[in-house]
Amino acid sequence: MFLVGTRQENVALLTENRKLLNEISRLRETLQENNRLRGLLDFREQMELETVVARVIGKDVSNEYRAIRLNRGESSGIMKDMAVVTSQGVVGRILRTTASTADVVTVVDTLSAIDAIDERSRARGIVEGLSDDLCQLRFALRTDDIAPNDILISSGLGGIFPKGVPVGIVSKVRKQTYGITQEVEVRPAVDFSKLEEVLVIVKKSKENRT
Amino acid sequence: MTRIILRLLNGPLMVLLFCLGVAAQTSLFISFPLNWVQPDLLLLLVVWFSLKRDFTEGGVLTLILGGIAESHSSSPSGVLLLSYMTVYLGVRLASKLLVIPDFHSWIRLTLVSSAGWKIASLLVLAYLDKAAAQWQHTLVHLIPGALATGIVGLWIYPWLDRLDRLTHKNQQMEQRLSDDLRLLENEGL
Repeated sequence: MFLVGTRQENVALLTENRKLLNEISRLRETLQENNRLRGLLDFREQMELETVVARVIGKDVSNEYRAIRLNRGESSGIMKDMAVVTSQGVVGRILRTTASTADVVTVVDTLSAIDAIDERSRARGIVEGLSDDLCQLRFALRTDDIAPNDILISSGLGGIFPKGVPVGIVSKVRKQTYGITQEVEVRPAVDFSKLEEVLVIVKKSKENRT
Repeated sequence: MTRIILRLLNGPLMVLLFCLGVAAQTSLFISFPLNWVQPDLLLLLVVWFSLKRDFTEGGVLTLILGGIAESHSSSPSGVLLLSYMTVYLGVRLASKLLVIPDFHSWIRLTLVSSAGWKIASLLVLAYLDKAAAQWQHTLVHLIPGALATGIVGLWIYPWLDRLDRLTHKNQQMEQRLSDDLRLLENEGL
């Protein structure tokens, strides 16, 4: 007698359980997104930048190049050569735009070149992309004081990136017995394998404008 | 009439397939291990055109596909287009000089084309003085990428063949031709 309707009740409870588990999963995802966006907001306020938040929706069609595609474009005020950053550091610059999307040449792309300064020693060089998770600092003089774990920040030259945004961290330094430069390997500040949201700088603060 | 309409639809269908391949390569291939051993779905279509289309039609389609690929890449203007056209012309030349009898030969040709594509791309970058940073990456991905493309070709080529039979080839004419050939063989000619 007590088992009458138990099967139906069981099925209903299982269905509700599945719905609640889905809801929990959705809320966890929302929480993580919230944390990421909060980080971006804090970074924007700290740097006093006028920015547009965009989501990464695609990567380069070829394995040889490392562009990413964003879900915002000209209709959101994004234009070519605008800087793209996150709270971790420099992502890249806008290569081309459409009304609703924008392509970004990332810092790890072979065709990317960002003027950077060693935060500690103020040595200067150009960070160029090498592979999916590696860059190199070119034109760093042999006499420059650059050591592993030094942070490279954007110099602000060129007018694209604001000054002081992390570009990468020095992972290896090699001085040949000849030559006027040294070989410096750089790990990008941004983890591109986990990149989801970015900030596109549409207007810099007066201090950062060159 | 239906035959003609299907034949006219073949080109746009191929372009649409290419766009689907671009969508897959720009979104699904983000995660490991596909981001490391990325099969080039677009190259498979280029090889197909060079083997199964006449010079003009295949060339025009390859140009269109190269342009579409470039709009989804940060490559310098013309690099991807040149690379795909190089593969197209190379495979056509190979089909004239060599015998490509069966499906397994197509796969071997695809492996060589994939490696050739990467080398062609690197040569164009060398001309732009950007190859110094890229050659190591190209060498590391040369063989795995070619193998991945060849393996995916095992499924893609039969599917393309089925699509071609439906929209491109004239089955009645093919049947007539094969009957004529059999008759000639029986008569010892």
